[in-house]
Amino acid sequence: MLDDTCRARLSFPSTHWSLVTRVGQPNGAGQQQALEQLLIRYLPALKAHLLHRRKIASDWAADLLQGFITDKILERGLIEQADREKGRFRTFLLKALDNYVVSELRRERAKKRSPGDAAFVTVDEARDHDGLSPPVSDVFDLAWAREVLAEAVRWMQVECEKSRRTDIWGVFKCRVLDPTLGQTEPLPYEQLVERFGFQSPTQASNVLITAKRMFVRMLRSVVGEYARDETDIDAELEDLKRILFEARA
Amino acid sequence: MTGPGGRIYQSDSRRLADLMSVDAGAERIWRPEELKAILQHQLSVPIQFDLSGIDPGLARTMGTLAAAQGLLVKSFNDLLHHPSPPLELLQLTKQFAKSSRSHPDSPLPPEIATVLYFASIAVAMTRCGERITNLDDETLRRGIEWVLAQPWVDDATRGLFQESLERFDQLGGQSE
Repeated sequence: MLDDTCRARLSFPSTHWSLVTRVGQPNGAGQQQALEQLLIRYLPALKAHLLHRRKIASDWAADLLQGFITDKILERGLIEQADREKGRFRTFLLKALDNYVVSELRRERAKKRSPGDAAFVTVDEARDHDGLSPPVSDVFDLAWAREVLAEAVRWMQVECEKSRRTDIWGVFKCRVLDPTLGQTEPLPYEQLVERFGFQSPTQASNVLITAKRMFVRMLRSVVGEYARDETDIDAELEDLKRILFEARA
Repeated sequence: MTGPGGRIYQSDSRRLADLMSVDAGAERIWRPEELKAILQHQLSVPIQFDLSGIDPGLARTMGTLAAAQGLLVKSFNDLLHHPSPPLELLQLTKQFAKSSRSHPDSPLPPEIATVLYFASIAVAMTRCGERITNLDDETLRRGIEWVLAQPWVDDATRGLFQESLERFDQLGGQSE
């Protein structure tokens, strides 16, 4: 797993479905990087799905994910098959993973029935996974929603640093991010002015408004990587908000 | 995982729903308890800093007007508490406050713009003996009384409005 610094170095995609499209370009210069970004982005959500929804042990989940990436994504070009006209990319990926898990279970069960093979899939596991019912997982969706937000926050920090607007990032962090995450009270106006040297309320307000708008823009850009158009971005953001709001923790 | 992005993974999901619902509008970006500090800051801002935003050409005019009063008129506070403030600067201040109040995307909190708006009218009335508004008497009085009812307005500014209200009463609410 790459850390924040590595993630931050990744360049920003500029168009909707840009990552998916770039991965689909055979041996293009950006293919490897695009694939890396996609995997980085989706792996925590996919793993959460296997661990918590499918109740698969951590080691096996890691093996399944590794196999999924190798067999499906790298060798069979799963990403290239994603069709933006046929629904959400995250749903596509999750269905593909579930299908992969089912086929792996069947394969392992067949091996288990063969004389001389060590048991790999327990009866309980087989029953659990045989009944792979809803294709879309709330655990996956929640992990994905967190990923979208985390990515938007990272992009915003990087963008502020790149454009040398650390005041925007600072104001966003102490007035919006930290208070919303419940870590601090919003930095009071006087302290904000003192810390960032704002010359007037107009200037302070402008920076705060800019920070909020920038975050919304980043959020839309992250979602825009897999949503079809502006309407789809709106719908996806509403869906992710609902998922977060309805989640228990 | 550390860093601001990493903290998202440990945060309560309902708080994250709030973060995803960040309002990008210009309205209500400050808390009510911060209005006192914002008003103080606004009154201490160099006049040219804000008024030049109305019209770039005004910067020169304002510079001349402020300079004509020596070094005494630098901030809105200086202007509003000046014994004989330049009427044109008061009019420009009113114009700035009015445009800030009426524009939904204005970065200045509407409460602060309202104080500045009525302050410029009140000071023009008491110090210059001029009425720089077309508001009727009742509306003007209600505006002044609204400002006086705000707990976050400082005593010095409150004094300006009390003075104007007394003047208003002396004149029986008649236009000058």
